[in-house]
Order: sequence, then C-alpha cells, then structure tokens
Amino acid sequence: MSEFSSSLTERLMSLKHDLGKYIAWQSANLEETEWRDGSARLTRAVQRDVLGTRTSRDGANQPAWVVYEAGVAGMSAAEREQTSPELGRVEARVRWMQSIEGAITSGDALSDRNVRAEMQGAQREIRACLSALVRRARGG
Amino acid sequence: MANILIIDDEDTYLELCERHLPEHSFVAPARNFREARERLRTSREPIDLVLLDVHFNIEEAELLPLDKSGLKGASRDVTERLRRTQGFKILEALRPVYPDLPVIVMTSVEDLPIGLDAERLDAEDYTYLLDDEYLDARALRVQVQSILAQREDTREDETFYWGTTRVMRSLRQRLRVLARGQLPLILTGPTGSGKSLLAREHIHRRSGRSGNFVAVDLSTLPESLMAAHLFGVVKGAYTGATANREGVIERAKGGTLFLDEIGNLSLELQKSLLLVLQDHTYRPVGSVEEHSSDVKLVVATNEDLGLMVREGRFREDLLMRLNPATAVRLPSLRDRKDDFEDLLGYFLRRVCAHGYNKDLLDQYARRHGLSCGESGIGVAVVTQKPGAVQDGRLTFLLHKSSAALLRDFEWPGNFRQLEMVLSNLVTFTLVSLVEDSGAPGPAASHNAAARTDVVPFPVKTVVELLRGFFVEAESASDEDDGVQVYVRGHESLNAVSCDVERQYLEHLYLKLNGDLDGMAALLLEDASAGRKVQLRMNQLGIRLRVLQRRVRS
Repeated sequence: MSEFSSSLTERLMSLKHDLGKYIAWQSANLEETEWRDGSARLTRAVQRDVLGTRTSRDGANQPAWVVYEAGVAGMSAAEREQTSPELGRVEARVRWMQSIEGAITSGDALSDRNVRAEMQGAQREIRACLSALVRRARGG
Repeated sequence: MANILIIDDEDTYLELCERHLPEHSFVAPARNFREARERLRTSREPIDLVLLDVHFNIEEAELLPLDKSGLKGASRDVTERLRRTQGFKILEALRPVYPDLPVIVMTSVEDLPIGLDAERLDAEDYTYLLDDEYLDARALRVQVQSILAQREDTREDETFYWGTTRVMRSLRQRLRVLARGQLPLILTGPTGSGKSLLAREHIHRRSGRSGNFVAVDLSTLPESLMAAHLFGVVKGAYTGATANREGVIERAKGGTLFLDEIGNLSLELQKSLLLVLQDHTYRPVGSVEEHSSDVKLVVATNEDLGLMVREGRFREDLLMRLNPATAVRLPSLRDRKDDFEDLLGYFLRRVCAHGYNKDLLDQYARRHGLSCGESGIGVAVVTQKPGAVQDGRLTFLLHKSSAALLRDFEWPGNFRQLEMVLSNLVTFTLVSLVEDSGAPGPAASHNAAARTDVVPFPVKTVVELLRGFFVEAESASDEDDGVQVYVRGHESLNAVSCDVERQYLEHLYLKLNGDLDGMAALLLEDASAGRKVQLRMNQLGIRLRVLQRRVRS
C-alpha cells in the first residue's frame, strides 16, 4: 500500500510526464554515434529538449528547471522527505543543466565530448528517477 | 502514403513525425477535442491514423468534459487532472463516432491515470498504447507501418458493408466482442442480409481461431444425411458407409462452424448438438467412441426460435446454450435507407471489380483513353454530374428518378438482390457502349461537350430491371395490380380515349409518388421529359394539386 497521498501521486505523475518525457524527447532518438561525435542536429535537439522542455499556454518556452520548479511548487517538507532520494537526484541534474544554460544556448557546451556524455547521463537519470518515483508512489 | 492526424497541444509529435516519417502526410495538428472533431469531419482525404498525446496544457474551457460541474475535488486539482488525462477523454469522445479509426496513444502504461480502465483501452481493436517511456522514433515508425499495413489488408478484404450509421457502428462493435468470445452466436435477419458473409469474413476472422471456417446450410441437406454430415460416420455404420468419413464438426476443429437455417435441424440431432455445446463431445454415426469437439458455433436463422420452442419444434435447452441473449439481428436493406447512397457506391465497386463487368470497364476505358491505375479504373456513382474530371475514375450518373426508384424499392432479396440488379445495370449499360466499337461514344455523338468519364445509367434499364421483380412480387401475392379503368360513354371516340388516358396517368402518378420524370421514363423512355408528361396531364384536365395532396397523405 502506497503512503503517498493521491494528490501527491498525481503531481508526481504530472512531473514525470512534463519533465521525464520531454527532457530527452528529441535527443533520445538520435544515434549513439551522434552523442559520441557531436553534431549540429544533436545540439539543436538538446537545446529544444532542455531549453524548451514544455511550452506554456501563452506560447513561451519553458526550460527544464522551470518545469521542475512548477512541478514541485507547494510541496511540503514531509512530501519532500517522501520523494527523497529520487527527487533530490532529479533536482541536482536539473540544476546542473541550469548552470550551463548559456553554453547550451550558444552550443559551446555540446562541442565538448565530456559534457555531451554528462548531458546524456543527466537526461537518462531524470527519466529513470521520475519513473522509479512514480512507481513507488503508486505502490508498485 | 498515409494521412495522419496528430492531436497534441504542442508541435512535439509533429516535429518528430515529420523528421522520422517523411513519407506520410500530416494534417494540421488538432490542439483539443473540438479541433480534432473538426479535422476528422472536414479533412479532404480520409484520416488513416491518429497520434494522440495525453497531456494537454490548454485552457480550461477547452478541456473535456465541457460540463465540469459534477466533478469532485478542488477546482485547481480537477483542472490539472483533466489536463493530464485529456488525451483519454478525447479518445473516449471520438470512439463512438469513429469506432474503427486507429489511434496510437503516446503514453507509457505507467502513465495511465489512476482509475482509468486500462483493460478497456487495451481491448479496443483500434487503440494502441505506445510505451514512450524512452520514445524511440523507430519504434513509432514500426508501429505506424504495421497498423497501416493491417488496415490496408482489412480494407481489401472487407466484404461486408458496414456504413456509417450509428446502428451499424454499434452492431459492428458488438460483433467484434462476440467474435472473440467462446460462446456460440445466433445471427438472425432476412434472406440476403449477409449472415453467412458476416460469419465467414467478420466473425471467424476476428475470433482468433486458427482452424477452418466450415459452413453448412441445413436447409439443403436431406434429413437422413444430416447426422453423418455433421458428426461424421464410421465404416460399416450403414449400407454404403464403406469408409470412415469425418463430419463438419471435425473439419472445423479449432475454427468456426456456421450452421445456416438451424431451425431445420431435427429434434434428434438438436440433442447431439447440445452435447457438443455442453460437453464438447460427440459421436460419429455408428461409433461408440466419443470424440472431442473444439468449434466456435455460429448459427443463423430467419425463424423465431422462441416460437419454435413454444411449438415444440426446437429444444429449449439447446436454445439456451446458443446464447440467445446476444443474438444479433442484421437489418434488411429496406431498413438501411439512411446510408443507401453509400451502399450503392459500395456494391457498384464490388460488381465492377471482377469478371465480365471489369472486362467491359477496361474496354471502355481503353477505348476512351481514360487513365487507369494498376488495378484498373475506379468507379463511383452520383446523382448529379460531377464537376472536375477525376483521373483513373469512371463515374456512373444515376438519374434522380432512378435513384428514387432504387431507394424506394422493397428489396425482398436484400443485398444479394441489390448486387444482382447493379451488376446487370453495369453490364447492360457498358455492353451497349463497348460493342458499338466503331463509332465514338454515344454521349459524345449526342453532344460534343459530353464527357467520356461520365456514363449515365439509362432510366429505362433501371425500370426494366426492377419491373421484373415487381411482376414477380405481384404474381406471388396474387394481387392484381393492373390499372382498372372505366370506359364510359362519351360523345366521341377521342373523348373516350382521353378519359382512359386520364385514369391511367392518375394511377401512374400516384404509384410513382408524383415522380413526373419517372413517368416520363416509363411512358416516353426519356427521364428528362417530365415536363411533357405534366403538360399532357394539364391538357387532360388532371388537377395535379389534388393528386399531390393524395401523394402526400
């Protein structure tokens, strides 16, 4: 039996959809060789996924950290506790992305093979953590 | 190339699909249910497939359900939940109207909203859940291609016309469920309504059973041979049984056994059939060994089995085992006036697809230089001359009086009869055009501007083809439907003649429900001469307004 309230479960499912699904929407479909060698297509895909993860109702692009913040807004301390450690790991990855926002925008970040690997790992971890969290919330 | 509609509040799927599925065309994405319905209704080309997102970050007013007053919970929570599950609400709203439209829902099973009947969604033949937890465009591509290929197969093999009316849609939905079940199924409906076709092409094919489909018409089997035919016979069971012979129950093992006219089964054999349904066992004639049976039984009848039970002609326990609660009644052609025009088009394409009619069509197309596809020229039937020439298509033009005659005809032989009439109509129409091979087309000979891609069905031919059935029906019912006229004394022979003519025209006017063009077709063999008939009636002093009132009443 899950200890999560239905309201919290709903919010986590929503976050999993908005962030977990779209954080790698385009870049997850690229070949491994592009991640290894880098390409203009990869840069565009990551820019779209990270800097325009969702679109607000007024048409503005919402980067991953804005989507994350909207998803966890109003979460109580007890709920933060419940969602640990998965949500903490998601936050760390999102904040790292935010810290290199300028380099993602210019494309410089993705010309570095190490950053590309870090980015791919971050996207995968966000997805995996949110999936695991939702499974746990639903009592799975 | 397929026509794909994406229902998504953002362009995420559209961008992905345009990159990875460039061979297909995508109609402008629909952002909410209202737009989706609009696109489906107005798309110039039929939509082959829908890709549906689940989360819709749209204005509250656009969210389904439109009436949110009955929803429980805090307003903000309710709205957010609706946004997060909107795709499923849209699917639920579209399904009753588009039961067969393939829809790929882009969600992972884990994302199915709490409380949603996921099993029901999975059970829908045309709803596919794509687990996009790690969406791989190649996986999407494979799924899209397999759905489109399957749909193409279904289209090609679809031999039963379902139409678009709500009644037929719900019937189809029901049969799809019943086909998959283990229980027997009773089909009822008048002769020619497509019972055996439906059993073979729809129920058996969707039953998921790998065995044969075997059909037996019990009305054509002598009673003495019925047992051996159904259950098989062992060598020496009776004089002439020189070898073991398997029955249809054995031949349909693992498949579907269709017993037409089940009411003809003797009481003795009804008992044996009951054992097949009850214990899945039977004994071939002359055998002491029990055989096991594994058939999905579909029976058809035009009789009232309940009445037969009351009269002691049918076993009640067998009827109960035949699952009468789910009996399916197929409507007659008379009851399908709502989609009669579509029916005409469907059966016309059928009768033109094979045999002599196809040869005639090909000859006509060659002679007039009409372009054909690989499978020959396409056909359509309309009641008004079409605007633009359509490549690869021959259009048959049906005069409105002919259309009315066909629509209002009783069709006692139902679809079988309609198919036969249309087949004859195509043959007679095209033969006269093709056999006159030396001269230009008849339409062209009358009118230089006439189009060779449009072939009118002569009204006279329609009338003559139906007249045969009228005569048959009349003689069968022993009713004299001839025109009774009274020859009264008048001052001149001309006055007598006019009186007779007046009575005859009045009778014909009433019989054809006031269709002057139809009268002209019968009397003058020219359906466009309704005005002439009207003038003559006026000359004879017939008060059309009075007759019109009688027609209306």
